[in-house]
Amino acid sequence: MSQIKFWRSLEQLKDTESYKNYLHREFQEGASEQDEGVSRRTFLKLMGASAALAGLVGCGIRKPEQKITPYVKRPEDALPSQAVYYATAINVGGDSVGVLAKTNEGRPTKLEGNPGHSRSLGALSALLQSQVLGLYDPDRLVFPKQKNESEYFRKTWDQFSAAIENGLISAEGEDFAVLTEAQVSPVFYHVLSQLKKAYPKASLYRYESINQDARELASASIFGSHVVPDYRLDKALVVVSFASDFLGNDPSSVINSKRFTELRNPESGSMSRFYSFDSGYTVTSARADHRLALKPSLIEPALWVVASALLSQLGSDVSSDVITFINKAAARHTSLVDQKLVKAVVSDLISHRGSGLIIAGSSQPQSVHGLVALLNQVLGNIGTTVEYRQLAGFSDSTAHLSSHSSLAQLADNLVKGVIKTVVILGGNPVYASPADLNFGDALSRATNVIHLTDSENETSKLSTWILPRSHALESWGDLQSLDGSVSLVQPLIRPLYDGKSDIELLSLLMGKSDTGYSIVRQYYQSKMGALESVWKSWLHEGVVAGPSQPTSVYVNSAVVAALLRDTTVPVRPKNELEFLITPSYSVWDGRLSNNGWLQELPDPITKLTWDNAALMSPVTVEKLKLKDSQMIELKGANGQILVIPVVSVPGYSENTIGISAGYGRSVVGRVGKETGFNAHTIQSKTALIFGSVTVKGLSDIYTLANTQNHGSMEGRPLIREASLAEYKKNPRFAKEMVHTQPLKSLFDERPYDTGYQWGMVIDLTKCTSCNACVTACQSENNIPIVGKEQVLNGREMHWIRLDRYFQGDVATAAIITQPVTCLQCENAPCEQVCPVAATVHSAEGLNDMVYNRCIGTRYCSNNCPVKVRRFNFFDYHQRNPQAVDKERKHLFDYFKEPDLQTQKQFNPDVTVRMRGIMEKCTYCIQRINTARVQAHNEERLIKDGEILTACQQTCPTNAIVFGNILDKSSAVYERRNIVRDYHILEELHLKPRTSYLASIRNPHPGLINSEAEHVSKH
Amino acid sequence: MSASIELDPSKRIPLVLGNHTFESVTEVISKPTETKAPKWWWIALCGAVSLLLLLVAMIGYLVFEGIGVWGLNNPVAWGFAIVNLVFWVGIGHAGTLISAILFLFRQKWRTSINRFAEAMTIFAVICALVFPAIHVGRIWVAYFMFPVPNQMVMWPNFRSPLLWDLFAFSTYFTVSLLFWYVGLVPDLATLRDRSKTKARKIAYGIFALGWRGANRHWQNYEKAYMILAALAAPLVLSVHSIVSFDFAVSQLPGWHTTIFPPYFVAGAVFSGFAMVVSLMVIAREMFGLKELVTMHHLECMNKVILVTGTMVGYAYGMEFFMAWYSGYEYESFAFINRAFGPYAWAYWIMISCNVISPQLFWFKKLRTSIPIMFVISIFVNIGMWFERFVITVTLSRDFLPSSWGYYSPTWVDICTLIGSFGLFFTLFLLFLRFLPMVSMAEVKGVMPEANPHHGEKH
Repeated sequence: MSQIKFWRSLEQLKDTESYKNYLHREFQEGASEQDEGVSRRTFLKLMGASAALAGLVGCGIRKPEQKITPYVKRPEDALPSQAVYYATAINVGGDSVGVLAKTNEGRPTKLEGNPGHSRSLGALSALLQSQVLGLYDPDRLVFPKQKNESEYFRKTWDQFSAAIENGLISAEGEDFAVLTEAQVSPVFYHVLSQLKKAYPKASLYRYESINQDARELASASIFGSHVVPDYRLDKALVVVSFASDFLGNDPSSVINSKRFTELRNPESGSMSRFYSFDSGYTVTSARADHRLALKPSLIEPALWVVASALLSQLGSDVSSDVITFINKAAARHTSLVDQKLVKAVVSDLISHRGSGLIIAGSSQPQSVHGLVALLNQVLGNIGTTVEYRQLAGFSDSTAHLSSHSSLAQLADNLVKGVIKTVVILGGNPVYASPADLNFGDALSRATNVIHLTDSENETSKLSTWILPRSHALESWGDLQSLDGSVSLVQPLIRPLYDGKSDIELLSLLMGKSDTGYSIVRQYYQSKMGALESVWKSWLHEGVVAGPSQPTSVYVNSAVVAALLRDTTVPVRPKNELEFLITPSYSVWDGRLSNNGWLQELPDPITKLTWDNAALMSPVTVEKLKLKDSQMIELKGANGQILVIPVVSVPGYSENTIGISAGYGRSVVGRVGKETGFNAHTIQSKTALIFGSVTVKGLSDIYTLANTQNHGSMEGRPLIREASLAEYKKNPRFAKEMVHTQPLKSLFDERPYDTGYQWGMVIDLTKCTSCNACVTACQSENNIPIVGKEQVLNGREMHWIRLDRYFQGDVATAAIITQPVTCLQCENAPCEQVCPVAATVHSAEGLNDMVYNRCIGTRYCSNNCPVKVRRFNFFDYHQRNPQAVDKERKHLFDYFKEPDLQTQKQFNPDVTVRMRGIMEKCTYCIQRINTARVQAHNEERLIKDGEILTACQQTCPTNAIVFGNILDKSSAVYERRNIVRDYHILEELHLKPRTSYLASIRNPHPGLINSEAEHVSKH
Repeated sequence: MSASIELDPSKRIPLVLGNHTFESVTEVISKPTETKAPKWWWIALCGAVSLLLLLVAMIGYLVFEGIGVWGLNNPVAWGFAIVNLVFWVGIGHAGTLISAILFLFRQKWRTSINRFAEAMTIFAVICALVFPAIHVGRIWVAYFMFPVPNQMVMWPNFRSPLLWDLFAFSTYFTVSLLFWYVGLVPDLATLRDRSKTKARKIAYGIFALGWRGANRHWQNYEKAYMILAALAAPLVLSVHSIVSFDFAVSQLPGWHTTIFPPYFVAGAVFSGFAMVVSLMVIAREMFGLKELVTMHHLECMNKVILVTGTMVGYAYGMEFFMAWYSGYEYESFAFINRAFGPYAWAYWIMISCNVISPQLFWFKKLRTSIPIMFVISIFVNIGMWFERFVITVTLSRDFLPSSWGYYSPTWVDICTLIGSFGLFFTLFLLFLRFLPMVSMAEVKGVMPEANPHHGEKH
């Protein structure tokens, strides 16, 4: 008790003045104020409500009246209430992943990973799953618009075609440019090459603000060909990362997580060891066995130190230029990395030649990628733990320049007047480009800017034509993944609005009006001679071709030496502050800003929702005499300025100010309005990802909605963790952390020893807190988005909460996460206190919530020891979570049911909860019952693995296992019998059905003592 | 006056001062109901009704918009509504205690204050009952709580303390109302007989149930009163014990303690008496009842406040002892957090008001000083409200630190609390105006004139 080991609020740990103030303040700031000012409307509403009270109760507000009409002629194969799954593919964040899209009565309702797709194997990240909500984004662009003297007018596609015919683009395309996103679609490149033929003088540019350019360009020069790596983390027993977020924001996080955690299994003989040298804090570095946090510009010197030690033993084949450079450079930075750590890393890598892996992060310059590739080659890892492949489009002319150089060139040509007409295929370069590039200014000089976009954004505001882009779930196409596998993208629904896909627009630009289907079909017909049956099987499987053969590559160490010499990153003094722009774990680069699921998704590290912030180590915060939520002014080397609030994150690298991109959009829909601060204003042409910065504290305080920051863990044994060695010495450590007397319930305990008895085991060794389960649960179970104000008030509705705790001292704190959802206690404290028996136990051991019976006393929530019950304080589904004014405009509107587009995403198998009732995790009872009906019809028992809960289904790390705990052959039975399985709050005799497997890390035996000393010093 | 009393300890302190006769007692007590209402009464009623309207508006808004208009959140799912409920029920304890238990113990000093206290009880319980009704998320199905036969063949959950509450409150309210009404019957008959207008005659006549003051009437009345007193006495203990079960039966640290029932009962009597003192001090001034409600009465009540306040203080201390002695880390944390955590301010308000301030009543000078007792009684009421607040917000920090939160009331919470006082005072002012606020029949019974040997020489 006395020794605080776990804590969650820094103020608490440090016992600072501000925290004491907070303790002594009567109410929290802003707490006693109303959500929204009392307007005339509110007043009227109030009076109306009082007057109408008697008549209202039991009528208007209670049951929304919605009429359904049955099919008069039922389409063939359409079974009402039966979900149909289609295989397609989606690309967000650099790698395309095959998905199975669930449709109910023709509406896409949920995205799940395609088990047959090599980049998914059934799992999907939070960002990818959220795409289905993007389809129903109420702020999507509905029809084409043309600008006419500063005003936009509704147009049709025909009018746009007519404009093309009338010479919108010059015949040869001499002053015409196409700006694309980083595309990974073979068909797209095919159509683009046709366009290039149609307009021979047209120029092509590409821009992606969050990109892998450094890695790709480095690969191109050191290997002599355009190749992309695929990391075989499932074969890598030693992983060393230099600022790579391979489990999070780097491409292929889904498959990386799956592969990485395959070797994070303490019961199997070989558990991998993971060293992370990184800036900031990422979900990846949170899982490290050893972590050294360094500011971004010191990552490369750290690599030199490691490389120097490594090459001194294995460098015989390496060009002496490289060795001399490295040794010289490393000598200047020997103090950067503890020699013991270097020794451990080097010895581990050398003893695991061919089964080790070094990964460089996308924030790092080409020289780092080059050196890392060289080291992997020296260690014999290329071809075993890292495979390189050539992909479509990567050898395209646009790929020879980095995104930023490409965009800068376009800007330059626009300013010079060389280019007059630009077609921008998706993307939002005006927002997502460095402030000093002034791309907006350059763009406004163009005569015609044609922007194909999902919804209006900063770039469309400067466009002459704004064209609606069809959503990935509405259009035909194809996508290639980084392992070379190709999938078809097929529409699940006719375009909701008058949109076209990228390839359809390109075809239109050429004066053709081919449909997406015919373009894709013809491409595959000509390329692969696809027969109807083959085509059908591609569509059915979602895969055209599996992973391609890796290309054999060889690093030219002379080129590496050149890259090292020309490194673009100046080594700065250790004390100089640096900013670091990272992709957002929620809204990516800002294109997902209007997605409520993602806005409300707590950041895995900060637990922040609806905003970004300047993340800093508490040490840095203290040094700069700042405090949490205080606004600061960042000033970059070129005078760029960003004003943003501070959030301190223990364990963050010192002198680093991490800012996630994608927030602070100025032209955005209702949901993304007024969220966060624009990181691109601090970005400059010379400091794209990180760079030096100065900080000035401002007097303003900003309110950040956080789903945590409450108190101290007080050494409570909630998450139990040990090193592999400790675990081997005492396998029962987790169980022995709490001693209980023999416990007995006040009420008769049921045996629950027949039939199906459902249970779940969550492996804390595997969980990376990637949030995929939270989004899966949200989309499966119709969980509402509540908005920032409500999150501030602690009313977020997510059924799964990822509890994040810090461990150790503030400078080097480790992060550990625990997903907590309803534990389905056999002796459920909630059931006993409900006066109306609205929460009761089923014969299968589930704690059932009977929505219709619930009157909303909230007593169950009070008595829930893990506080996982969620109460509908308002009719959240009928509110726009972020709108200042509600959808309802005057009194009579209150009696109407609002027609919200997002309701089309609802899962019809799950009740949409109205206000005033309690809800919580049900173990996806709708899935259990579907399987039960199926099994009953087939006169058999439900098989193990037949029911996957939504969270389990999507979990990229297989951390969650669900099944019948009585079935001795089930996976859940096996996991429950692993000795590190434990129950939280055992002393309450809850008998929870969800248990946890203790977290095991695998530190290097030679480093454990030194770290222990390090911790004890503080 | 008091000095002369102390001179002769062999004599009982007279309960009615001045040269009152039966007639003058009737006059004094009936007067407020028969004369034109004073100006202050109208002003007070206007104020009270405004607040009552505020309560109605707040409830309307709440039902219309949802429970979210209150400051409740995930860890703290109960807030002001439950605090107010327990607060008002607690206040409603003095009435039954004075009328039933003191009656059974033959404490004659109760006669001047019991009517007043009982009325206060009824109104406080009405205020209290508002809250469980409106605090549910779906008020339109709140009837699920009642064991009504239905097509689902579904009973409420008899294991839930909230259901016990329902029965405890309804029983308590019914018995208290009956008890109050039975006691009123002879006095209503007096008012009927004194009526000068037809309307009054009919109105009081209906409620006087044909009382003629016959010997048989008195016999039946005394029996009925005794039986009701016997029925009501255990309720004094049961209601607040059951209210405390709402907390004690749950398994949260800081709530799950066996000391709660006695501690809640003591606290309820404590707050109830404090409320009677606050109101009585004003009423006896305003209506010139100083000779019927004497300093002796007030002093007796202050002694009860001192005793129960000390009991409550003991309970606070014992909770801490048990938290430490249990060796249960969550429990210990809950109490340390209570005294030094984010809500320490509320805790120390509670301690100062409930434990420290009543200790002043050890001094006779202080407990017989009208201003001092008025201020302390107000303090006690504030303190007892905060006691329930402190207990309720224990929710904010329970087992898993990740789910910890902080509860702050919204303007709706605060207006609802203020509005509930409007309901209370509206009812109370109407009572003062239309019903005899002191039991004429019972006061006459404790006057020297009531002694058959009065006026005889020894």
